[in-house]
Amino acid sequence: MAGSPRRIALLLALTACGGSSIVSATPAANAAECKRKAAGFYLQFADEGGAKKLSMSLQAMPASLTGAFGDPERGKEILTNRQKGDCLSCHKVSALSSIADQGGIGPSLDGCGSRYDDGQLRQMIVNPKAYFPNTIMPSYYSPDGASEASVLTAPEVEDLVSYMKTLK
Amino acid sequence: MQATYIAALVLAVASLFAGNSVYADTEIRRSIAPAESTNPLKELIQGAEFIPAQIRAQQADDFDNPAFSYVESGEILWGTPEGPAGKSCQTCHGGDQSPISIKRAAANYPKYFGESRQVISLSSRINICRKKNIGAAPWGEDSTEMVSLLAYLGSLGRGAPSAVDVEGLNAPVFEHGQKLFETKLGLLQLSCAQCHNNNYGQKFGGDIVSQGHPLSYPSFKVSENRVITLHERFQMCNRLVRAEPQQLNAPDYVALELYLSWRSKSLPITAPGVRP
Repeated sequence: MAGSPRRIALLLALTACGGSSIVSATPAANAAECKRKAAGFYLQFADEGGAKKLSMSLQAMPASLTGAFGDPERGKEILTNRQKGDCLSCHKVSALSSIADQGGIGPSLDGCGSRYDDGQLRQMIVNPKAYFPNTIMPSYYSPDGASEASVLTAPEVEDLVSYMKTLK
Repeated sequence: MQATYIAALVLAVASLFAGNSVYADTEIRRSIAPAESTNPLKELIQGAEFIPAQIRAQQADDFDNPAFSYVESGEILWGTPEGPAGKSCQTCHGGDQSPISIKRAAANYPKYFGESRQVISLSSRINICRKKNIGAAPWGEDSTEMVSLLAYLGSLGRGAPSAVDVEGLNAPVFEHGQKLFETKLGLLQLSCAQCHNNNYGQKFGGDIVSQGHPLSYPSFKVSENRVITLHERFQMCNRLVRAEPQQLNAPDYVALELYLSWRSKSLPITAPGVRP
């Protein structure tokens, strides 16, 4: 009962998003943008982490870039390879503690497989600024450019996501 | 009695491993306030404060410093006659007890040079001198001779800060250098400022990010097992963010060197350095 008036207010706000005046690329993007803002505004009172969780799920990339699952073994190689992902330059992974000198600029990746779903992990690799606008982390995949303008290829991103899912 | 012997033995063995704890995140690093209030850094910390204690000790000891042999070669080259008239640097500039300007040469460059009508680096000035005053062929930017002379002149400037001028004719190049420092570069789209202004002290790629001061160059880079110049370090940084490196002594690199020299005031020159 306690959350109920808030939930009603949230639903009202979301439905009001149909006629939003937010300028964006398409009407669908308008509505999505508006929902994101409205939901965030209400949820920050209902649930401490709620706004963050909602914005994360709204901006996830649920579809596989290749239409198939990746290979976690190859993903581990991409994560550790300095010429590829080079993730350990900035992040720590306890499961790979045999590799020395892991970085501390970014948060530890331990447990990211439990904390985030595939879509969120994929979004974080492809465009971390969607979740963390001020992050120093580069974007590791660029769909528009040719493959040389992208740090990782689509299959490599999928392999990496598969490996990160194992980091529970 | 036996207990104390055992304790002493344990301590002795433990101290063998003490040197390995080099990446303490809570290390206190000595800093000074920047000379200019417009400096983006609020505290200036020398490069040596970010490197492992072992390597810091190597840099501090001229006999142990692998780059110091370059200083000695540089001193020899300084006095070696060349060209049709058999002149050496020493002929005009005297020995290292010579006029102050040579002691401070490393600190004054890059600077605007009237005859070339542009801001030039110390290596360019050396080559101009070689051609005009000695009549000798220029040295390559990363040749052993050039690196030796840069190491020698750098060592003469030790202990005093950079004295670059960023006003007047130097101003446009200084501003360009500042812009470059803040420009996102390469496939990874990272700017110098993001790491060296905002994330120094963090563990990255097996090292600790420094503030990126130019004061220890030329420097012996342990991972490359050779002495490198500042511009070679820029090339490495470019490759790190997966950008195309430029030529040594490229205008962008000279501009960046000018900006970094200003930004380092008033930390002292520590060339030649040792870096991991």
